[in-house]
Amino acid sequence: MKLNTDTIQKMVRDEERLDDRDLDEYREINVEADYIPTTAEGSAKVSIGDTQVIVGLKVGVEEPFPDRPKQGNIVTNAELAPMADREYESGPPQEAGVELARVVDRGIRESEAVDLEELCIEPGEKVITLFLDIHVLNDDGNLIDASSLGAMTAIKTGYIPVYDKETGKLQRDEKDRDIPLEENPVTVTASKINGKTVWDPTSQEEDARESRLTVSLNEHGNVVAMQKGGTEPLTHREIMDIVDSSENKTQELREILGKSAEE
Amino acid sequence: MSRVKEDKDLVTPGETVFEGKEIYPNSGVYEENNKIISKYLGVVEYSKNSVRVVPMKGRYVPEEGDLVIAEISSVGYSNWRAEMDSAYEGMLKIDVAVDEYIDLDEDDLTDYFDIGDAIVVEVSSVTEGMDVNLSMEDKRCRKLKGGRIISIHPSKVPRVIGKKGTMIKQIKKKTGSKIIVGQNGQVWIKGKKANLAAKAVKKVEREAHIDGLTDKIGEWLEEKTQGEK
Amino acid sequence: MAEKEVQFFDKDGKRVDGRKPEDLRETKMEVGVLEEADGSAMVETGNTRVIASVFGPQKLHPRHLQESDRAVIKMRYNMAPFSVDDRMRPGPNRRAKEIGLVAKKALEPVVELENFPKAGIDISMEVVESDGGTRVTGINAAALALADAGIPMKGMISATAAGVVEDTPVLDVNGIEDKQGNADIPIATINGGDEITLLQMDGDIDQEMLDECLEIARKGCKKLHEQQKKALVEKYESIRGEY
Repeated sequence: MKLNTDTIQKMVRDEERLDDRDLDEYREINVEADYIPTTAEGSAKVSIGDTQVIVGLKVGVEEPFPDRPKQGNIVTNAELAPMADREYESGPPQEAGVELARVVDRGIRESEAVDLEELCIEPGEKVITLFLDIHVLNDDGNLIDASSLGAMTAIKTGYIPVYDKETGKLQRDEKDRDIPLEENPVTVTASKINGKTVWDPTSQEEDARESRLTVSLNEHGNVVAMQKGGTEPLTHREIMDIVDSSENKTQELREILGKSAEE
Repeated sequence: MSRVKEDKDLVTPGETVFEGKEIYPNSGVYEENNKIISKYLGVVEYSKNSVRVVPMKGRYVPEEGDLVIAEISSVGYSNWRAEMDSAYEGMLKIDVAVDEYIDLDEDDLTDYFDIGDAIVVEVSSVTEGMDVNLSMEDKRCRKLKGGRIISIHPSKVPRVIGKKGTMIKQIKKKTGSKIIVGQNGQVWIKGKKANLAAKAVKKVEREAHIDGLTDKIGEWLEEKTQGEK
Repeated sequence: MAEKEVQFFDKDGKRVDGRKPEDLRETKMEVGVLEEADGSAMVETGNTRVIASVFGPQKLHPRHLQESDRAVIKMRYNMAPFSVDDRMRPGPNRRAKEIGLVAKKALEPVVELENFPKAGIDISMEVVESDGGTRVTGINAAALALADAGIPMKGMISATAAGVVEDTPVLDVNGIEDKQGNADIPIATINGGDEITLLQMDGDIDQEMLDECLEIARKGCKKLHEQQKKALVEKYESIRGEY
């Protein structure tokens, strides 16, 4: 509702939000690893406030890309299920799903979190492909952060099944090894509402924002991926301020990621 | 003849509430083979010679006489359309919207109400084909400025208002807020402690089926406002 | 999964997952799992898990689909890519369309559509984990979601699938019994009674066997109905219990 959008924008100037949170405060985050134990090779359910996302990891054996014969692949897909929002009932916004998948993918790919060469079975012939499927069940804002957290949890707690050379098939119920991880990237998104930086927006707050910036940092604090969205521009200064704040934010999420991967 | 379910029991669709012909079925129930059966997940309510089931939830269906909070969705030549968080939108014609004379060729309707404006409006009529007409003639009707609108299930509106308004008056007083409750479940709140008032309204919605709620909410509000100036 | 020889019954007559022929799998039901939807529920039957959502009554688009005197139900069935052993490519397929259609027909008879002329009721079933019986589990979840949404219904629909494995009628077939058994018979009933709103069958069995299968399936539906009733009031009972 426009009335709410106007009020949210006004309140932000006084550093206030509708749910009493600070501008940089995340809602309650819950991560459940191995949420789909019997059919997925890795999975997680993440909720941030009322936003709920399931990420499933499926392992496949495919031909490598001709220009990268010794590398396995990561394929990321996102589905904004119609149940996630009333607006989605008349067909989910396809662009949003594609962007969500690509942004989550970029954070993992550019940080080289997964050692793709370790996924090679036979150079030029067969490689392991990791399929990450993001399934949004309830959209109350901040899908990118929730999905990224879910994707990394699924990879961290997932496994590569035994590959039977004779049949050329994976024995899905038998674990061969963990997924080879080199890095620990975390992705966070900052929103600009009425000139102020706000973290973890609800759906209503997303309607009130003029722009957003997603930042993925690796464990050393290096920026590995970014994505700007929204209709208004961000200044150089604003961007650097957000990147600076991202360090703390990613640390918070990294701790949660670490805990859930251990359980 | 017997009460299979008692007053205030929770029932589900298809469950028998009463067996016999001694009382008649009111809303939320239907009759079959001498039994009165619930149509909803809801609470049983007996009256002197009838029984009804009040559903826990359900989207708003406009009824004549309802005062609702709506949002202007489009501006026409001589009318506006407004959404009420319902399957049915309403039409507001200029003759019942504005007191002054409007020259349709000269004046711009958006000067009065524009897309996105939130209004308190009355449902003046609903046809069988679900054509809904709205009117601003009632003195409680107005355009809303500032504040925020939260949603509650329409079936909980009576509870949020309370007997003779006791519940809503309590929330208004203890939080110093202005509150308007639309029959369609849209609730407008404005004031310094609006966040708290909103929480209180949602709490009543969640616990509407509990006894002695007015006191419990009163205590809860006391707790929350303690130690504040 | 390798197609090895499956022993459907052990020497004690127990099935691959330890059940007796007439046993349902362990079933969990939770109502009101999603915030945006008007009604929602999740049902887990063994390793099959389905989430259902209901939006409505709400505006129906496109307008030419509107019915002047009643609401129209739109039903969607979808399997998440990670819900099966061999990843399912996202996108609509014919099996999903058919299941959406029969599930809609299973639920429609009890819904009071005439209460909401011109409106739409959108129901969605998402299978997040699959091990046989996804459509009947979906129907159980959808029925709960409809009740949760406050849609008026004459009764609750509960569903299960009977099957025939090595000439024995079994209740609530799991994935492997479905794939390699002799018959798969999903049914749905009203209020756990004898009115059947969904019936499908594929296999090869004689009429006596069919009769027996319908019998045990109806018993299964009755048990599930009892569980549905409990699940619906649970949330509100526990709120009462907070005081």
